[in-house]
Amino acid sequence: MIKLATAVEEAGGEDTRAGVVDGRKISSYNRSMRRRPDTLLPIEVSILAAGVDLRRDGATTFYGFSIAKEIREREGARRLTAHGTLYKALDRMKRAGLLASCWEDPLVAARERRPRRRLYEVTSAGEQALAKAQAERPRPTPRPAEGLAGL
Amino acid sequence: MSALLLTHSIRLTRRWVRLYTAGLPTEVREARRAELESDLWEQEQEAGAAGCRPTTTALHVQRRFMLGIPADLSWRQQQGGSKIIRKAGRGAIEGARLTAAAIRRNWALGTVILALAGAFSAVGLVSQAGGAVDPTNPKTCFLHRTGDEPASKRPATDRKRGASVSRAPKRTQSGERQTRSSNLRGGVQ
Repeated sequence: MIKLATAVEEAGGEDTRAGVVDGRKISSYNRSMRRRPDTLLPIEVSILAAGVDLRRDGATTFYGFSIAKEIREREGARRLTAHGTLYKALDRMKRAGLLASCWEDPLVAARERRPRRRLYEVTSAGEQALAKAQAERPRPTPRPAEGLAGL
Repeated sequence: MSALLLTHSIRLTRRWVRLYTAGLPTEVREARRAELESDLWEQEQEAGAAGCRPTTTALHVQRRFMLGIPADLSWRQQQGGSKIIRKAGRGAIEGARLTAAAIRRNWALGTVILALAGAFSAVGLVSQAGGAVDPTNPKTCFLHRTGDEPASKRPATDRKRGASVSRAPKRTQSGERQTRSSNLRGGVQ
């Protein structure tokens, strides 16, 4: 699950309560905020993880809506990622070399009578970045109640 | 009625995409518009197949559209473009930040501000995007725009940047749109 508090922590914020969103520490709201280099934002981790999962399931490529759906299912969310958030992240990741993209053959789309899809795939750099992000992710600390229950 | 709401939600999202991609290089603009068009189509189809009510789907589309606005504006700022659009983007981002702060402090007040902002945005979008967008009508839908419509019917930004028939996406024999960019021809970038 995407924890906005994680992004706040990464940004060196003080407020680390889960679910608390500080607009000053979200890059879209605050121009002066800059992310640390070589770090992935929660949405980027979600996209890469979902992309790797889809590939494991046999889908070599994915497209915008399929990745939004996969993220929703993986994280048990009720709703899909917002358009702007998703496509901005995909664009950024493509520029960073974490994803590669191509446009679907127009004839395939025409045959299926639907708009053409932009297909993405996770690159080796993306896989490495995901592995690094998952290794660096702090383990959840047990709640006091859980700790006492174990005694 | 509920189907109409869904149609309007999709139309509003299309107009928003048209608005914030206006003035960008053709390749970037068409890529983003086509990607969103595909997303909207997929969502509508998936919801229909799952038996969701059109009203529910419409609300989901609206939510995705509204919550993505700050990221859209931020992306637009990164792409550059006209000074006015950049300024408007900065203003809107600041507005979104203040609204978020207001919602945190006073939920009711924040909701009223958000509703007013939404209403003004909708009116502004409708007036700026101009003209009805009908996906089945090649003259009005950006996905089917051929570039052979009169200059007065094209967005102001296209006219300003000297867009002409030669800059419009070419069509294959099957009638599918084909952009000039090599990266849109099926090769992995």
